[in-house]
Amino acid sequence: MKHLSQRTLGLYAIEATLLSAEERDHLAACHDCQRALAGIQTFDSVLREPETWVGLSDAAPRQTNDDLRAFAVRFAEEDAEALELLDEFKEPVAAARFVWAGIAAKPRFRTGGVARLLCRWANGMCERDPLYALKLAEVATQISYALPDTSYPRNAIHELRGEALKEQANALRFLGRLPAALRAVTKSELEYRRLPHENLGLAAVKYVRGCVHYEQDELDDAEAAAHDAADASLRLGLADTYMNARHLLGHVLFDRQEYAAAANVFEGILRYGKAKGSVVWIARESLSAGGCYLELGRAAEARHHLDDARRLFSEMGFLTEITRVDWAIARLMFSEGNIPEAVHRLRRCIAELTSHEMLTEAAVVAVDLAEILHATSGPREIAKVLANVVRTFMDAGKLTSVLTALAYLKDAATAGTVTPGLVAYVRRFVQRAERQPELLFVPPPPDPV
Amino acid sequence: MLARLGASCRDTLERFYLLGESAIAIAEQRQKTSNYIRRLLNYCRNRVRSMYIATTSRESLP
Repeated sequence: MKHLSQRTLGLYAIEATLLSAEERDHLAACHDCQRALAGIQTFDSVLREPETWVGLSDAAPRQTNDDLRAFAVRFAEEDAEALELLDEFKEPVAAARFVWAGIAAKPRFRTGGVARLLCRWANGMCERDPLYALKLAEVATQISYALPDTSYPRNAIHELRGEALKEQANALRFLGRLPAALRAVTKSELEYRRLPHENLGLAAVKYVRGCVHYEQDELDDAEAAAHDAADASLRLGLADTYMNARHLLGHVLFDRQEYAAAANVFEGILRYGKAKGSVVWIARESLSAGGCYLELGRAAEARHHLDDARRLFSEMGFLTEITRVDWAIARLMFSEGNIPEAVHRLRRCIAELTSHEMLTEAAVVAVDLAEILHATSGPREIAKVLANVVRTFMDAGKLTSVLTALAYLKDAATAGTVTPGLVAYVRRFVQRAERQPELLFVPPPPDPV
Repeated sequence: MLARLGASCRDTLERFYLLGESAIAIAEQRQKTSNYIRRLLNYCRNRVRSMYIATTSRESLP
């Protein structure tokens, strides 16, 4: 296909929907067109600067610029004030005090600065303490809706509400409350769509939507959202967000067992990581691509990628990622017939994941190990491995449905009724339960005679 | 450069870029189609961009 014309790119910068699917595909792959678009977008951002219009505006010449300057000063003051007001709630240890403080109801906390700071903290808190992240985001949302429309530019209010709801959705996703996360995503998108221009927040919330659908096993919806997020990121020149969306797409394809297509996606991101010199991207995509080659039976390529991933994660000291790579390497060894080493490594992975308190992942590895033992040793060995994992779950007080599933498999092993179908069923359940903790384990229907 | 644009161009660019109005809102107010406004925006922005590029390339000449 020919390069997109300046006119086409110019119209696209104004209204993203004006590009056909074929033109969008070309743009996604063509660096020259991306560069040309970035040039137009940079110029557009200059046109959005109030300084560009100083002394020119007929509509509300000085007033508009003065207003915007006044808002900029006010925002900076609000941000500084919010830091002081909220200082005592910065760490998760203050979660209970934060909830009791009921700050959303107190007028002095009802500022854009407080809402913005809570959003920023919520974003950084998702992995450390998702429940506190949710509380922070909920209060940010309440404040953003309590701000009088007349006291802030309307676009600033929509942007703030969109951001607060996005952080709420993200925290709910980390907590596994997926239907609620999806509702928050939809509300966030509605706020962002009220802005005259697509912005970074909308691209990010589309990505969150994709993740939620993916975690609910709604692969078609996840794929559509991943494409959407990738397109939006591309239009805005957000390379890392674009690659995150592509990474999600790769996992959707992997889960659909379209391993060659998934490998293709991961290899593309890997090239980006190498071009950028980003060790994190290279390690992450090497692991993902290695997993695809493992499933495709392309052992040499799998080993090459997994070795790369292991070396890089080791250099960075990412302990859990090293264990994940070792898990894949153990499965590779099993596929190559090196069963004793595979069993040894899987046992070590279970121990390491347990020590990192990643019990559900340890359980999935235990089920993998059970599968190997079923093919090589006997039911007694399986029962022993699973009994250990069950005990770990009980010691940790994690009385979840994963525990029920593992106990069911252990009992089947003791009774000598384990089948490959049952192992696969339990593995699928444990993987799903990690993403959706509210799922209940139901034993599979008996095999037809 | 913006001062050298016609009133219609300048007003459309200002409303879209500075004041953040959508193409649809501008179109409604002017009783035009939104596609017309988008084409106009593209044309006007390209004009001012060409002027800008011409100026900067002249300035960069030795």
